[in-house]
Amino acid sequence: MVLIGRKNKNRVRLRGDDVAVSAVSYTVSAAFALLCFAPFLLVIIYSFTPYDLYLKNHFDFFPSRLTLDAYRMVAKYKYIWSGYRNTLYVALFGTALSMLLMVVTAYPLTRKDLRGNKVIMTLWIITMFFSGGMIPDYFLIRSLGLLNNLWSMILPGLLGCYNLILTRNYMESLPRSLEEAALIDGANDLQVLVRVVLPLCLPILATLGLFTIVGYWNSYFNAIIYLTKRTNWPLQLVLRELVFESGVNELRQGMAAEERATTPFLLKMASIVVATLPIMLVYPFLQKYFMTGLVLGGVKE
Amino acid sequence: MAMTAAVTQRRVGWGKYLYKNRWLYLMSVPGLAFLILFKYIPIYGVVMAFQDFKFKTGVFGSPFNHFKHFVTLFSSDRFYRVLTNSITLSSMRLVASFPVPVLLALLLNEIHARWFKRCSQTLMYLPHFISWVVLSGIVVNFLSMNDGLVNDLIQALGGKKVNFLGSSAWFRAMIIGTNIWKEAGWGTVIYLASLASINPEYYEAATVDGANRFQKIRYVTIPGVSGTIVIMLVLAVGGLMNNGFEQIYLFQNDLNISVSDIFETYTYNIGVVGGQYSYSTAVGLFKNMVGAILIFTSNTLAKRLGGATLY
Amino acid sequence: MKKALSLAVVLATLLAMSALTAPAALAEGETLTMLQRLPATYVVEDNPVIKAWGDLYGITIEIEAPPISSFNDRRNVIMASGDLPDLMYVGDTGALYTQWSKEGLFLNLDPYFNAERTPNAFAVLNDDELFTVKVLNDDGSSSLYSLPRVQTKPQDVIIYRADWLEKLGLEVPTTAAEFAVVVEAFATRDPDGNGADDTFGWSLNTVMGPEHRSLLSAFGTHPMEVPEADGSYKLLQQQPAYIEYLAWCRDMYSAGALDPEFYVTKMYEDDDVFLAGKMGVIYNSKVTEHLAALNDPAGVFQTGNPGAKVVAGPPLRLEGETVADVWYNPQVWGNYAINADSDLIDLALKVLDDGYTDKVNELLLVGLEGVTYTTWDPETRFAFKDSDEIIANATSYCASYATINYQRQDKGLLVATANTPEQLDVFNGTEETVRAAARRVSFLSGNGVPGYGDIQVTITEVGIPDAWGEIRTKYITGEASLEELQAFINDKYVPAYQPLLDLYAAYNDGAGFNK
Repeated sequence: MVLIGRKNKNRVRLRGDDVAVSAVSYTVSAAFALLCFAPFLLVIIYSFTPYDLYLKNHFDFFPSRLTLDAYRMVAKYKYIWSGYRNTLYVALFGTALSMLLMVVTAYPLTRKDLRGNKVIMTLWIITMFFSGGMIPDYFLIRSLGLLNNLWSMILPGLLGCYNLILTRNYMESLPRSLEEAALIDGANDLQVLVRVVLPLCLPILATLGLFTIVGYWNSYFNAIIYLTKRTNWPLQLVLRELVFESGVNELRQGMAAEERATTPFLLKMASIVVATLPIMLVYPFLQKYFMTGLVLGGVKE
Repeated sequence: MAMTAAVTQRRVGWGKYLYKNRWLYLMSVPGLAFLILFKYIPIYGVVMAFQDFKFKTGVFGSPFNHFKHFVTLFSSDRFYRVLTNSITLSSMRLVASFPVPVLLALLLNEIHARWFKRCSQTLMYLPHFISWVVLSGIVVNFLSMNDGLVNDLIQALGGKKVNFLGSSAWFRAMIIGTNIWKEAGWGTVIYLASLASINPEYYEAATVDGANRFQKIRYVTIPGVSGTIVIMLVLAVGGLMNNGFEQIYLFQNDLNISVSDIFETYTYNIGVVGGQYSYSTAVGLFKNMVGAILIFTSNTLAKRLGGATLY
Repeated sequence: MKKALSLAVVLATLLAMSALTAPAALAEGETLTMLQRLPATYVVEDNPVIKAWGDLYGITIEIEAPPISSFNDRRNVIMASGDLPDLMYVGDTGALYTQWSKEGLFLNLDPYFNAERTPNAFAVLNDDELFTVKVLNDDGSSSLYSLPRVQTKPQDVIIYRADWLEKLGLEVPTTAAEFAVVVEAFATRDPDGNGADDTFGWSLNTVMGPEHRSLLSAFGTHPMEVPEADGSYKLLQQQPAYIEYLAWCRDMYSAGALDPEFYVTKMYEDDDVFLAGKMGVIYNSKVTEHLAALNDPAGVFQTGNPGAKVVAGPPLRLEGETVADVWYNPQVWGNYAINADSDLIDLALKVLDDGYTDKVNELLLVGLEGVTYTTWDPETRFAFKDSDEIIANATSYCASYATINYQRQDKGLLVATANTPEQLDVFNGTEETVRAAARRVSFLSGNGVPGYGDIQVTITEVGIPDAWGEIRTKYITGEASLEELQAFINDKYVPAYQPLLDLYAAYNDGAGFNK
């Protein structure tokens, strides 16, 4: 090949294909990243902008006055703190248990010829399309005694077919040699899963862990149906209620005159910041697991 | 491929077979219990689609109505508009949106400056956290004919203002474009995980063989993620009947309703008009039947073509 | 031992019997469960106001308050699961309410709604108000399954930029023609004097219903519940005056006086355009009370538009008239029903009925002295609060949503946003002027068919309201012709509602379907 010759001539210096690939990668990624950052930046700026300034100019990145009114109002609201507590509880326990269940369910399914696997997989796929709906679900939760219990937000969504397929698929793509070696050394399947497969699954666990924790963090619908006490509400439901028109109107009635300028719009923006910042902080911790390639020490196919 | 289960499978009695694979079966128990308890016990609710639902007596005491809801559904003019709109929009969405996160992930994978890669990926995933209610407000501010940023720009360049928000011609492009904007960065995550699992020795080997960057992408990277891409594609085809309610509902107005009327908004209307529980269950059942057929067909197709499959 | 046991049995039997024969009125120490629709700011747990409410009867009132934005989801599950509370806010007077009533989930109030059992509600609620919660029986009679929460609304107004009118030398319009002149001037004669063509007259809010009574009153249309001279019934769309109204909108649209993107406007977004100083008129669900917020020097409107002034005009009237006739239906903010299977029906009925007294109404609305207010003047209905803590408590423990009845109908208006005597004066002055220029005409209980207040169509035609919205908006924007509009009305719209028109005719002709 021609390229081999060229490569030998300048090993470190820039080559045509490198320049092309790098140029495209950096430019497109940066451009798209900035495009995606714009709305988020706007939301943050809006949350500090007095409403009359927002109304005059929707794209003022440097408003002449700033206000903390929206944040003050959010902080005043009594159910915010219990909301944080409940959401943390649901997100942490839910994600941990969900990951555990996902791994032990997915691993046997990677053994394609294990008897019964095909049936189980088909049963799972059917659940992607057919469900009983709100009322039978309610009866189930009621008979389990989980009404008004935070576990009613955790259990029904513990494992979905989508995540299960992705995990199983990922496990299947791993090199089999290590598993086989371990089995031959006399390890049982559970030991193989824990010692050999799991460490290699960090990227997918980080990814689906992220999906799951964000999913639990943002969920609120089960709370509407199963949690009848307001002190049990998760943060997202509390904030959703707060920015709902009537909630704001009631708040405004009890406000001093200078605060009355705060509007549903500002509150909405502030509540996004309040609700998403904590969960976004999780991201960098998980990011490194799916952004850096694994070093498969000792794996030789 | 030769795993223990496979080796011992034939000619072995059930008891022995179970014992041999006891750990695997034990692992399956919690998942199976969850599946039965939370997914299959409540599934009797689908019979509502065949009933005139009575609140007082519930699913077990409501009379069956001889597929009345399905007859109603298939005989209404609006159903065909809704079906056409739903499928047109979702197919266009599949074609336009599906490749974007894949391409972004491939591009990110080619970036060597670690900080740059992490920063840009983090920024890309931010819009996922902003709800459609808020994002649609921002989009309207951008596209409006009253002081909208884009139209002001068009006008400044000497063009004529475009009615993005109130025209059926622009509706689909607007929905798909804003959807890519919101979700593509988030969608890269799953492909990045898959890229991270590629054995680095393959790249080393390719370098030794003298492959250039394009060749490495072509012969190492893409085969490394192709399994995930196929799985995601099969799942996306299964979701062809779904367009999501919130985004469409927020962008829908009197002037684009001829293309923006989809299953999700239809069922919502039924709920508003009459709280017709069992009718909307019937609509949902129809939609999901089609979805299930689509996913099994596309999975079979993927299997024929030798790709990764769901089961 | 045996003796003791039999004694215990006898005692227990006696106790049980005495409980059964005890006066049905009240059950001390009981817990009455209740479903309420309450704002997010309302604190349900350890609420002193709820406790005081229960103390009136020596009971505990246990309230469940699902999220207000998803109240219907939770309520529907409650209705389907049989877990009904004793007393519940229904929040529906349409098809679901009818279904639940007919299936026997709610207590039929016919035997109870009288001067003896429910003296307070009976004294206060009028026919039009009761009409909204009546359910039509198969024999043409109607029954009561819930009681409405009614608000007496201040006068509907159309709010104009007074400084713009002044600058352009115009008066507050009273007719459709005058209105068109004013909004066109607002759009084309640069009322804010900034030299840019960036204002328009008004926006037609399609979310809240563009057929607003304050505008339609200029054309002489009438609700479909009101019969024609020949005794037949006609939908709004069949009335020539209504087509005139649409043509009027169309003319203003083509003149640039109407918001070019009115069809994108979501709930309350037209307010934002007004607050931004880009628009000269707001009309939708505006009442005299809203002037207070616009005149507030610390409010968004005044800080964003220094020197702006507003004035409230009356609903538009027919040419040559001095008063606008406004078809007015009672403002019902939901309704309360009693669980038919409740063990505490008498108690629930008592609590419900007492909700129509001043005492309970004021307790739920303004709360307790020293806790949620400092002083309360029932005359001006003004609650003074002298500390931050009391202001915070008032938001947490009281809400208009918490009341059974919004207010006593004979007590006049509830002034919520007037915090100063000046605001109260503006309000009262405007209220008086507008009342002199508008006449509210009630129509529901006359010929209306109970349970059909919200117009219903058959499920196969569920797309008709949407299709109607599409053609109407296209007609206004000029994308559809008058012929297309008429063809849609005659070929699609009227046939879809024909069963309703037939029902009205049959119900009112006195023959087969007696009232």
